[in-house]
Amino acid sequence: MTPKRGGRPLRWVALIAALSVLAAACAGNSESATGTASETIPATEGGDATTAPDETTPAGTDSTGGTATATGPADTYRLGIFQDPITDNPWADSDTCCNSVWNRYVLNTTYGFLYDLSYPGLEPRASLAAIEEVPEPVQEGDVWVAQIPMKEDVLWSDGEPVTAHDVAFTWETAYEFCLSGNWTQMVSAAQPHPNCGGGNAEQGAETGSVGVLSVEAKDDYTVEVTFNGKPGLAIWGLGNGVWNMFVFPRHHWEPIVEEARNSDDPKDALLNASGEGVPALGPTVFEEHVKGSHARTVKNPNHHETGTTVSSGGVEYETGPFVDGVDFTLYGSQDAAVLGLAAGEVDLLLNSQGMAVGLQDQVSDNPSLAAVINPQNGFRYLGFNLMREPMSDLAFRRAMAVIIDKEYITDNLLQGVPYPVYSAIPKGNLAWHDEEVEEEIKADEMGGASHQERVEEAVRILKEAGYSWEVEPHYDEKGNFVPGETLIGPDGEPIRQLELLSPTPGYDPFRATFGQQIAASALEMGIPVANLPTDFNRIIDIVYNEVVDGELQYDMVVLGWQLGNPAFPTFMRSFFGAENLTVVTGGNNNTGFNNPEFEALLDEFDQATSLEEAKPIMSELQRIIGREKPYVLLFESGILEFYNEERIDLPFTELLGGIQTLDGMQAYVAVR
Amino acid sequence: MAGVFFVFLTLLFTLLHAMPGDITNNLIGNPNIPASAREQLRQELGLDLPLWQQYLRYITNFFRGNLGMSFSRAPNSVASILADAIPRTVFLIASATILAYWLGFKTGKIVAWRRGSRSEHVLVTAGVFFQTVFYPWFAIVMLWLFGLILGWFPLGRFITSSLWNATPFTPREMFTWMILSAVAALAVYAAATMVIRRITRRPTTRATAQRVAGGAVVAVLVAAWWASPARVYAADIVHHTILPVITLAIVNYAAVMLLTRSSMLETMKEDYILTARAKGLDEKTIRDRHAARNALLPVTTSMVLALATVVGGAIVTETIFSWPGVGLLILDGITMNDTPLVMGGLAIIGVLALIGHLVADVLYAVLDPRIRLA
Repeated sequence: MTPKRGGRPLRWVALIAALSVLAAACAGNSESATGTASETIPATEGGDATTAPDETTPAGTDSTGGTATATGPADTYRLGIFQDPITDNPWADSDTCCNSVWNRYVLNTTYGFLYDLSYPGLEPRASLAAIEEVPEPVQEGDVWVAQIPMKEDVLWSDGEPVTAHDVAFTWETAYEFCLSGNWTQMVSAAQPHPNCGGGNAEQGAETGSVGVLSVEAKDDYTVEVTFNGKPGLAIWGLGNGVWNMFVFPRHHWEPIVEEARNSDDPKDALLNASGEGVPALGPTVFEEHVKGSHARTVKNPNHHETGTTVSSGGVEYETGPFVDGVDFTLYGSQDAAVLGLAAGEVDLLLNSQGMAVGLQDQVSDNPSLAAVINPQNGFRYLGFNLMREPMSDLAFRRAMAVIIDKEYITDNLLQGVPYPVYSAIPKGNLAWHDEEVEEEIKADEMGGASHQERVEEAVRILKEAGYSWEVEPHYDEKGNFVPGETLIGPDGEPIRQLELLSPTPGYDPFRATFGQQIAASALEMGIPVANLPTDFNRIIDIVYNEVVDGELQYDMVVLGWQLGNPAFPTFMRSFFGAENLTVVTGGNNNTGFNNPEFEALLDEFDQATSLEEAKPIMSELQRIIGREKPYVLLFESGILEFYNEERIDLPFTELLGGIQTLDGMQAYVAVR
Repeated sequence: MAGVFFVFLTLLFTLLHAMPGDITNNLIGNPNIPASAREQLRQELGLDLPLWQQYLRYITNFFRGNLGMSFSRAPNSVASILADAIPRTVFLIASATILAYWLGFKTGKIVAWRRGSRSEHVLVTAGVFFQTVFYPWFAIVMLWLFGLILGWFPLGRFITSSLWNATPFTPREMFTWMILSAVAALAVYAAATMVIRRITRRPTTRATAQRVAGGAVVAVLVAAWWASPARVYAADIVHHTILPVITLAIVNYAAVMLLTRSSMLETMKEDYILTARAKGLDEKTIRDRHAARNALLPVTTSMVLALATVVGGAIVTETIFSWPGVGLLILDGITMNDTPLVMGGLAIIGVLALIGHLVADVLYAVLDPRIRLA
């Protein structure tokens, strides 16, 4: 007979095994806190690491030349991220191959620049450059030359001096290896490199007629940049260009570049090189990336800006780093990340899209956590296909703009989370936003007006342009609205059924709601618009890729943009410039907007050499967009971010694009 | 089998390329990246070629063992990305599946045997609840309760990042070693069982010897890891695994328990159960040796097929517990239009599913003499 309790021995063994595992786990944690953790070794002013008498020499001294690793939670800044960085290679980080915001969060603070931008005011300030102002190029024969003297006491994290040869080497390598993506603007080449002939059409093509011919080291501490014409702010001084290009260490990369140059696929070989052990100039040094788990950077003891005070946008703060390391912990979902934040696992969550509004309640219930909302550097819009009737008619577009009650939708239907926008430069961009232009466009689009006023204005606009109705929309004598029926075009034909593509509620409930309401308002006016909630990828495919007989296959679309460098907004050319027409070059101008007055202003804007010159042009560009309405700007939702205010001190939290714009302020944060 | 797989790959390729857009659509959102960069990337990735050429190129490379380069995680190859993720997924899902099936079968047969009792009502109600619970909500609640409120387990992820600083082992190596050591332990236990069966024919002695052998294997396994310099890291992984395994196992357990119960109830109606009772055998022997063994057949088939699809069956678990496995990779790949990555992940699931069907057929014959003899 089988014994009744015969399973006991095995159960006991299993129990003991489980307890052993737990014991080992606990033992592991304590050991890690005392045995494997290394401590910071303070650096001398010259950057050489010295060992303090009462500190242990770390076993894990890194390959960047004596920089010690620091892992103690008390002096580590812990950031939550939501996707693995794709690469740790700094060249690849900005190339089209591997461009990702998740790399940027980890690597951006390891880079150095001749000039950098101060936040939140977005003013240029000298970093490696020895003079505060970006020097004006001077004409020398057919070319224009700018010489930038560099500080002479700046060291890489491994103690090597930073020289002009590093700057020249970085530019030449990016140029020669045909690096694309964000490198295109940083290199700003006048002509494509011979290596890239045909294969890399972009270098030299995006900078208009003026670009960089060469970047050379005049001596160890003077960089000479030669242009083929007088450069405007677009590539020199505010827009991305050599002046704020990343600078990489020649002594580290030269042999790797040489090896790559001699390989079968030089670009691939360069972009595949490891980023571990690369000396850094910024406040942090990249240390490791464990795929699927975390990445880590450590303090750069030689960071040349440490201790300097930054004054920008009315805020004054000191540059660190004030932490010994930065841990980037990967989370699979926002729910899990917020739990991690609440449990004290991380100090701040980084996400360029912001956090879901629904999670704010969890954060507000926790006294140690804070939620901040900042304006996004972007907007959502209704785009018209100007190559099709009736969208090609300005009166029709104006009438559509007038009947969209943005205030009603944002305040009543979307509970005030998003807010209406009228001009293309977000209010948060203090340097470029023009309130006067915003108000002009708002008045033109009847912002804040009643439904009756909107209807009457839209009817007036359309009637003046020759439109009519079978039943004209109007308010009767009792004040009741009578919807319109069958809008008839100036040619006497009823307006055909129009389609409005909008993202699905699952992808973006705000844009989906706007799509629904725009179609409903149009139907009230007798304009036959059908809202088609569509998969986002499908929308992108339709409005950017499906060209038939030189025409894009959509009528209207609700989409959105992030706007790139806020210090010098180049997006106007990208979205509305004739050279970026989707149907011609596959660019971002998918409405088909092509306006000679606008084109001339774009050229003037790119060539402007001062803010005083550039700002009025930008205002005028916005006016034209507001007047011609290839887009009707709809709303912006702001970027919501969470952080642990009991553990970290941020010098400021109000800035365009949110704290993530400054990669979590790794250079300025203090951990309590 | 090869034909089925070929058709599977072709269908997969067709379906994935029927999705709108491609990886270069992701560049559209960046106004700093010019249109020419998109075109250049399309050329570099071969997306400008006609679809049939892309298909031929993919199939040829696939059968040469080259799964291509990931579009969204370039310059990493799909094979290397999957090689990182597969051990993590196998470790998590295999643990949860085995635990769920072991417990589900044990309790399912008891519940069926005690039909009409209070314990049956309680377990069946609980089983139906867990089988129908909205899993993402349940997983979040488990994470909140045991991770945040009680603090017993980590809040997701698979390692403690501060512990793994400058370690001589990579997580991938640790996962691989842990899986291999578990497989080795199972193999030793299976060999010991066979030896015991040859040595003794007495059921009670056999059972006791097998338990002792099992205990010894577990003890040796734990002792070996305890003595290893990697024990801290292995324990860290196990500590992170417990909560997702329990969460997933509870939901799977409910299904297995209910399946076993149904199967047992059918078996208990058979004449040979009546015969066994008539012979005067005790209830436990009838239940375990006569009824449960026959009820095991559909459960075993279900388990083998479940194990075959482990790599893709954990998208929700991997997302909520921040467990970077194959399921999460496939989800990311679909979102990013990373066709090679999705193809690679799904192709592996296809291969395992085919192998799973083969193993299920073989096991069926092993477990059921009627099939073997027929």
